[in-house]
Amino acid sequence: MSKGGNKKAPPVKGLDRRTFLKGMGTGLIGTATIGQGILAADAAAAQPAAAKGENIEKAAVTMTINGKKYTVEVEPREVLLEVLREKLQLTGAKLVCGHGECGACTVILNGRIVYSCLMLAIEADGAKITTIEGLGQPGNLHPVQKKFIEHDAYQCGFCTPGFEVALADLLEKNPKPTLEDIKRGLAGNICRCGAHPHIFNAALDLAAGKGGR
Amino acid sequence: MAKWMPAEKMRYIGKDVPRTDGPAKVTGTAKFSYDIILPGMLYGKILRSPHPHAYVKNIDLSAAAKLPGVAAVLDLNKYTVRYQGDEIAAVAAVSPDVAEDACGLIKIVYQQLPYVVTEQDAMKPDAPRIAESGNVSWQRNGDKEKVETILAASTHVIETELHCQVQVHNCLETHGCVAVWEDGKLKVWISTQGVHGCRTDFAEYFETEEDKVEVNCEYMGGGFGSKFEIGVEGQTAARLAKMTGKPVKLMLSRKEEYLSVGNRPSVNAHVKAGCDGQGKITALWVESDGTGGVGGNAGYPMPYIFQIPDGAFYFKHGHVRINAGTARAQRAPGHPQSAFITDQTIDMLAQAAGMDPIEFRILNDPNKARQRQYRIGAERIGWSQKWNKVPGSGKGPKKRGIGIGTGQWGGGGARSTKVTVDIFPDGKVNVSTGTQDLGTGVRTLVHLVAADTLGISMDLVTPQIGRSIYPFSTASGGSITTGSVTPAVKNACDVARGQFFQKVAAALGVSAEELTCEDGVIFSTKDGSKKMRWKEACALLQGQVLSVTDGWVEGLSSSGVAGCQFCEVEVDVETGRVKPIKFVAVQDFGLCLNSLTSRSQINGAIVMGLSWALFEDRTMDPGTGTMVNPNMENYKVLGNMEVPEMDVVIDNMPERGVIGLGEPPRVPTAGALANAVYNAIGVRITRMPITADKVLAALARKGGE
Repeated sequence: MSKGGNKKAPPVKGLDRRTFLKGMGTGLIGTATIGQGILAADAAAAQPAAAKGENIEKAAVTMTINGKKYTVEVEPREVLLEVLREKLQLTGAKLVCGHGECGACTVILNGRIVYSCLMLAIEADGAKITTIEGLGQPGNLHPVQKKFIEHDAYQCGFCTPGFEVALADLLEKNPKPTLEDIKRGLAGNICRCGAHPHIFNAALDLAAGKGGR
Repeated sequence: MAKWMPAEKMRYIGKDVPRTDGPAKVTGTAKFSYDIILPGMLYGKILRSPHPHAYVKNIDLSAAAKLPGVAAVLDLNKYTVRYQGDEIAAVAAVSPDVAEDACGLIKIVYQQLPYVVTEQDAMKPDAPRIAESGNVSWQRNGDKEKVETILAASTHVIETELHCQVQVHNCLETHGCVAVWEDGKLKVWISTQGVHGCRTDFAEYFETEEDKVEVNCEYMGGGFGSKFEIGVEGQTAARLAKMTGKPVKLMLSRKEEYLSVGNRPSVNAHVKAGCDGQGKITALWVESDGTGGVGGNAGYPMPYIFQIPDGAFYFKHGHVRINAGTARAQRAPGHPQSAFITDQTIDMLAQAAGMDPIEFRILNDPNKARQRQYRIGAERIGWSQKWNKVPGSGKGPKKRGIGIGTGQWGGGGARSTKVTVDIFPDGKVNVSTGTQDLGTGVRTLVHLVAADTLGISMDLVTPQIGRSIYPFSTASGGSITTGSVTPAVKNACDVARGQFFQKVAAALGVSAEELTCEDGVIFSTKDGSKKMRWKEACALLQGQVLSVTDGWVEGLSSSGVAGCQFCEVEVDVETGRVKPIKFVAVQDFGLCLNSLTSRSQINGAIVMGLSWALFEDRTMDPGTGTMVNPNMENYKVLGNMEVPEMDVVIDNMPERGVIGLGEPPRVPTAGALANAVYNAIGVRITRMPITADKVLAALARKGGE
């Protein structure tokens, strides 16, 4: 484990926070309804206590994202990832699992990496956030991004922003990680294409002080 | 017949070429279908059955329709739902949250029906019948009695059971699309393996002309065989968009992905095999069943790779229907199951015959390429030092072993593939075709093949793919994309170059036939002083674009590949933990176009195969008829900690032309791992996934013998 830790905000296991806050049994999708008893119930009986639709009261949230200040109206139940993506069009971070299991939504918040799918946007009020878009841009790449290209540390590219943000944070806290440190530090990220060996090579290059070319 | 250029003319082909779309992918600016946001866009959501089998007696959409923020509700007119996750209704609303609220307000009265969710239950005589044609359809091949007679007369005979579990695709970008109707035309951004196939499907579904449908997929987050069809989700998104007159984004949730959009079928096999005193296989007997969910089909090829004498093969396989989501093609459909069963059978026979498994394979595998590959791989993994002659004989609690697995695949190319090459007066070249890049790197292949064919820098070429407005390209399945697209790219570039050289030849006062282009300089092969830089030559176009559309030609691609993989594993006999240490993969795929992305594909196939072998398992609960683990927490996918050291050997055969690589290396992995585990601990784990509990149970049984 890297010095200073590379831990993510503790996930609420098996249940995404948004669903939890909305009350168990909201709708039939995305809820942990296992068991004959619940399944046998009429869908109508499993309705949320207050399905208000868009009439829900909104709150203004101010965040500094990639150095730019944003104020945005959000519903209290909206997670940070949804606001970043659908309201601010910062679509680099991805929704994959919605449960803090895969790391595709990883962003840096007040110097710590978090799963933005597990955090409510209202909790991020006043926060300083770096997303993949703030790490570097085409023509002005971050060393991690350069090394990802050089080593082909991706295939489809969907998990890539999450891995890169996690690796950038890891290197910030531990500039010379071993292979074991890298594997553990990125253990919160899942890649379905199996780019891991090349991700490790990219990270090891950076750990050895070989910056992106 | 067309030919690839000689190796010395290949500036990019066969080298480590970083992806063209690398900067877009690493900066988060690559726009996947899921990333498309349009003004006024609504969010679609599908309501699915919580029951494995039920009649929909009544559906009341009124409360959902009245919810503020809901723009449309849609009854999908389903009278019988046949698995948990079957589609019933849909909504479109101003946000994903409101859409989910609305789904919760749809009132449905179900009448639950009897269900089955395991192969064993479905095959019982008194099982609830879940399809008109019955729960099982049988496939038979060979004469059982005759094969049993041969086995009885064989010097060595083995018998075993082997089980492969259902694997879910788990594409990180879920299925779905953004759809919008503009002036009677449908425009869609969809996560698909077949841009043009989707255009046809949407046109047919809406009974409109194909030119009224535009399909886009410039980036997509994995398909693995599950994303050929527009699906109910695609149809529904486009219907909701039509109803509301607004763009609709409808992407499935992770749970829906687990339940409803495909998986690799299971196999439960009972195997008998024999060989003679010299180690020649005499007969193979396989009785098996497997489930492809409610759709049934659970096929896999058998016999596999190894030579069985004529008349000495018997096969009976049951395709079993259960109340679970239907299987779809998954990366080398059937083959990994065949290899898992075959590779362990072969190892058991070799052991019975007292032979080294590699020598046994070389004796019984007729494929010349693989015979050579076995030796290459054995050398790389250190077979002669590391293979335990007595399995499980290593000292201490952490025991190492090595094993081998095999694979084959087809490939080929689609003659219908077309490519447009536009040469601009400023020297830039656009190369366009409606193929799609699933993460395989085909955009980069289009790019580098065009540059090498034209003899110019990749900087001058822009590959354009992933849109139905580009020339026709086939769906990406069966590892045919490289074999379809790159021959068409090369040919179209050759034709465009020929036409362009006519203009240059006139300016240089030479004949077009003697011109060539290397490193961006066009020159006469007869008189090197007659030359012109590419960019200057392009100025001869006088403001016009030289545009050529041409297609696939014979001679640049072929099919049929061989491969084998070697695994070194460490098994902790105290905890049961199985840790892959190293993989060696030797893989033929004809002419290697990009060694960098090819290694990525082989690494990735091994990771996916290991994930199947060690962790993944769609677990159905017979008590509720539902999936127990439809999330990434409980449906385990291989992570960083289990990824072994990779040693990839590209068995380059340029004389064969290009052959696709997406599927072949997915095949040998699980068999290699299982054989390595046996070699480490001396007891065979016959049921995947090879988890710690199974290892400990098997060791306990061994200890009790």
